[in-house]
Amino acid sequence: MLDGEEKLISLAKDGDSSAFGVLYDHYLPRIYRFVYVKVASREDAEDISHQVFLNAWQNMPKYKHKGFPFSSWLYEISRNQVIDYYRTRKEAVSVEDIDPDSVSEEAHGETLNVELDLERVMKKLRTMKSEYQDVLILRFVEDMSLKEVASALNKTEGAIKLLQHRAIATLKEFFGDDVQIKEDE
Amino acid sequence: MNSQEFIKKLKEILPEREYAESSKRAILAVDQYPRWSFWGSLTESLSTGAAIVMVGALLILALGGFSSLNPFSLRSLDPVGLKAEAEAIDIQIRLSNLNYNDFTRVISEKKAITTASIVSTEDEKTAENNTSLMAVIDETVSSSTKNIGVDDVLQELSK
Repeated sequence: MLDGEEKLISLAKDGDSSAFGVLYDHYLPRIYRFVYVKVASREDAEDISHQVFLNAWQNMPKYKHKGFPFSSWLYEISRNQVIDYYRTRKEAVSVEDIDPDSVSEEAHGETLNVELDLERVMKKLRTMKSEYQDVLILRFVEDMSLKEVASALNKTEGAIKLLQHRAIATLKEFFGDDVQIKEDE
Repeated sequence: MNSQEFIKKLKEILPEREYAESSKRAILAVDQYPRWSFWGSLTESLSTGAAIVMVGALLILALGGFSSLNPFSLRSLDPVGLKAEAEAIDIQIRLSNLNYNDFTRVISEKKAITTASIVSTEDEKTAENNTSLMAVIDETVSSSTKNIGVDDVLQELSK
């Protein structure tokens, strides 16, 4: 949670654009990552992230702090936007489908290989259940606590623990490694 | 790539700075939705309620729900009652409005002629009979104006 977040939220509710700008700068990378993993397209992730914060800004006067972090509300809006995206999306060209030989010779081969590997893994990740993806991203990419993840996904901590356990097992099937991921906290 | 490397790579995903700046400017240039206010909410509720009441009233009127409360309904216009009343009317044509004066004038003229003829033929009894007939007619006309019939009069005259 951002320091002085409650004060910033109060100012933003009254129409203070600079206060909301601070909140935007702090939470945009998280929301962008969350959306990007799900939609696999930078352009679509930018559009959806923009819409998420636009909705948040316009509805700030109606926002009520109910003891949950402000990010929980942003993640809820993000999930709804991704659902709407999948309802109307067209087929996107994945990096996986691009012929590597058609890429410019100036590109660093190693970097391109890493990007392609990342794309392949993310493609596998998107075959997982949406709930598993959410828990993996929020717990291990955003380093959120069980309580914060529970409030962001509107579930109990017990349910989050169960989803986390299943998500890790699925991830290990993808990579086939024995690397332990911290499940506590 | 193992799972840890994968997670590390995911953390490195960031939006472009140019996109972030332009997006923020565009968002903050938009007005916020108005905050809830008591008077605004009350006005909206009243208008919504009034609209619902209007629609309900129109529906009821369309279905004829207010027909029993029609202020213009008159008892005399009740078709069933009117029909019963019509059947109850005893229609009997009565010639009760005979012009007594014209009728008696005709009779008197005949009487005069008859009397004259009777006098000339020295038939006092006939004259008396005619006179008495006139008295009968007069008596009949005066006593029962309601039930006088033309047929009765003609019959008497024929006698």
